[in-house]
Amino acid sequence: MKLRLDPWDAEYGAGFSGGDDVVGEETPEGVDLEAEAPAGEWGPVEPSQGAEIGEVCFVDGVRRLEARLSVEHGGVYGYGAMGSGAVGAVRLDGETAVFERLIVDRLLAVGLSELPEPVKLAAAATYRPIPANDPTADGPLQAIHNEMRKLEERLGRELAAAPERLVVADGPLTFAEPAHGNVVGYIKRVMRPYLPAAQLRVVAGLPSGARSPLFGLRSSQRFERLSWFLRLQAPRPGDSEFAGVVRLEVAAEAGAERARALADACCALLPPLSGRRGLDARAPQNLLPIAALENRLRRQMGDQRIARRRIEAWISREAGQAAFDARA
Amino acid sequence: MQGLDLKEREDVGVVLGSRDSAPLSFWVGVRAGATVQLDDLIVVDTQTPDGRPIAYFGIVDEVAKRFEGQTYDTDAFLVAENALPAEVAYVAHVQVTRLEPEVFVPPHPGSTAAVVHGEAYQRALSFDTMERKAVIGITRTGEAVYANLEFLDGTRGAHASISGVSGVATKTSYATFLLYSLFHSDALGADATNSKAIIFNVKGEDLLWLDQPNSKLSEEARAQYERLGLPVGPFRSVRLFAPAKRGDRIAPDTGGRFEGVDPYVWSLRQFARERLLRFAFAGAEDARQQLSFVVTRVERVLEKAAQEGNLQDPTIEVAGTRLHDFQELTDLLDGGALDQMAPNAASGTLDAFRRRLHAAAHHMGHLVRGDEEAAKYPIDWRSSQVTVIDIHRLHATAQLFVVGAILKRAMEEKEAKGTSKPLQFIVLDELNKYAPRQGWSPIQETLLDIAERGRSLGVSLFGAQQTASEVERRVVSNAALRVVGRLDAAEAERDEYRFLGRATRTRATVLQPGSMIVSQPEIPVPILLRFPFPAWATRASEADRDFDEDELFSRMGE
Repeated sequence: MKLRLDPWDAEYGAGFSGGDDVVGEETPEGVDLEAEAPAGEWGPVEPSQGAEIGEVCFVDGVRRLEARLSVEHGGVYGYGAMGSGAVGAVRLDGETAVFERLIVDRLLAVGLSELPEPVKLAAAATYRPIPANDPTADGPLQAIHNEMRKLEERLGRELAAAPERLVVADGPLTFAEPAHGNVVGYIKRVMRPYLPAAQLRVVAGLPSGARSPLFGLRSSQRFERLSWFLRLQAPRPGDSEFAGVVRLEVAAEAGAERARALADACCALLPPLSGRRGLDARAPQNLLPIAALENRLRRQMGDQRIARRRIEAWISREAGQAAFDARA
Repeated sequence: MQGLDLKEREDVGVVLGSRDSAPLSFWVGVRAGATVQLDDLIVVDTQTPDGRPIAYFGIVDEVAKRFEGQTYDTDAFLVAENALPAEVAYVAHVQVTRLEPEVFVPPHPGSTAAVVHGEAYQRALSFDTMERKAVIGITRTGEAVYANLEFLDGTRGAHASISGVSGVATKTSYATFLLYSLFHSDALGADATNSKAIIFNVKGEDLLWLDQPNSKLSEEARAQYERLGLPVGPFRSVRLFAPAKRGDRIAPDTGGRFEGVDPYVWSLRQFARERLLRFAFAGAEDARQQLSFVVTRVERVLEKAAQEGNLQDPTIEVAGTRLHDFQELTDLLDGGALDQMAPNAASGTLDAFRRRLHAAAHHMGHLVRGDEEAAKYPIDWRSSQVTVIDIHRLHATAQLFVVGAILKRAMEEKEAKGTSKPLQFIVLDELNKYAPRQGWSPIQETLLDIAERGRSLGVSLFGAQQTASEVERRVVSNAALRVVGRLDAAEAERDEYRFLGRATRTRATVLQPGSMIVSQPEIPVPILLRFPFPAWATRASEADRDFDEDELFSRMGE
């Protein structure tokens, strides 16, 4: 038995996991191993040159739950939640690295058919009502999450409108950007290996800065994508052989050639931006610009304790008023 | 604030809320593209919660930049390599100098902060409320800095204390500049004509050219004088005195300058009448109780002798012997005459007296003479506005004697007159030698007298010293205007410089020549200022008349 270390901080879960799938010799369903090279000829790709990239934008979002609510309207009870989210980007143009387009949204999700009015709790804090379609306790939380995902997606689309720009979206791609084929999904936590054992061994043996051949992904829930694994940093002695491996994907509509050029460009672009072991709990997968952006976005949302207190104060006032009205 | 010219203010940022904002001290965040530097004057206009306008004026005493939100020092490398986005926080600490009106509420975080110049600058430092003021320097940004004259002329205070390392701190130059400003501006008004200054030239010959224009003055310096409203030129009314040489003929003993320098000596009669013997024993170690008793007895006898005979005669007769020079006095006291003057003193004390008198006579005896001419060469400081008394070539004992004798007479004259006007300024370097913190001496007593009573008598002492910590505490603490030039780092930590505050104290250790930090009673923070290069010559090569090219070139080679 081999015992190896997953370099991520234990609190954050596994950086590379097999998920529920058992890795076998068979190619899983929906996976096309031959998008770039025949399945029998898989080996590390170490490109010398990739697509010309003028500038790169990393897009990410953060969200937090500030209060869980119980709601009642016309005798019907349901769940609600209030929370904030923020999305933004970091632009690297070779000269500077700057934060861009930082947007904060405050949401009040309600698991009832009726929605309340927007709630203004401070000059810069108006909570926007949204419906939670899932009536369970975590439904409103999911609604907030989805809303922020949409916001992130919209920002990604806007930024991708410039053809010379590469947009790296944090997480699996949620939108296809066929016009220029310049949006890449960056998945730092690999939940499913997708590959059969033979090809996975190629991934395990990737040297630093090298990638796997492209493979196609098809599922019933999303559009077709072309994906590849990339090794950011060579594992240290004792590390799991998948340490420092990330998965990237691009919409299949962009075309195999474009996908290959982007994949090659990422081999040069991303490894120098790896997170630092010892300083970042999810190093090296948590890229420096993305980590910085997440911190910045959290700051942009303001202090969580103050948000919580504002909500408490507002609700207790409402409740007091309601009691007063009832007496009168 | 209403009525403020927009050109005189530039919005630079907002009051921070991430650090405590207090009525007398707050932080300002500087917005991108703006610049705030040390010594800038900041105004924050805001409103009290009940809607009344309030303006905070203050001076910037600390500025800092930092990458915000970064935890690791190595992040800076990543930012430099463009791998990491970073936001720079640029903050400035403001020490409040004035509140209008005086409502001590903290400024609201987020209020706009502006850097001010010109009239608003003057307001920030309360110069507009000073009825009578004298310009004492210029800031790095070209604003004039004033001192309230009422704290220099005795109305509410007097005296200046200037400290700093020799050679770098330009202490005497600054003292002379202060005098120049007082005498050559309209600050003193009608008093200017009659006000007098005595300057002791302690080191070098820098002060022996005050009456000569500086031919090497740069255009920049000229512009500074103009900006301060001062004429460019030498002191208008100056007399120079140098000690007489040893020998029969009375001639000034100077180094580089011969012309226009008058010699000075005391006649024996004057010496006796004014009771100056004590200053021949002025070394701190001479001031023991027993010895000073003998000195007093002898002084008393000499004073009596001075009142007898022809009062115009420089010689005096003591114990039946006519004395023609200081040596004869020493010889007389060597014998039994001294035993008669102080019959109760122990013989050991008398011997000590004789020993010390001999030692002193060797160094200062030639300044007290009995020949015909002696009475014609007193130091007369009423004939000119500025009187420079050169002592730099004298032995320390003789220096003490001259300074002591002059200060005593100056105080006695003012006491006799009984009015504070006309003003008498005195510039004395190396104050630690004349009024040391340790020990006691007759000069120290005189200086203490000036420090404590001079204010009411119109005598203002501009004292300079390398280390204020070595000067008698009461002399330093009585100074209204406290000035420091470059300070030694260890010295800067001493209590005497508490008034500077932490940030300014550090700056004092790196001050360049020509920069001083001035603290005055009405302004709660010390101000860093510069003063223009002297418009008067400080050496032969700068004096127009005796332009000595060789000397200039030899100096350039140094």
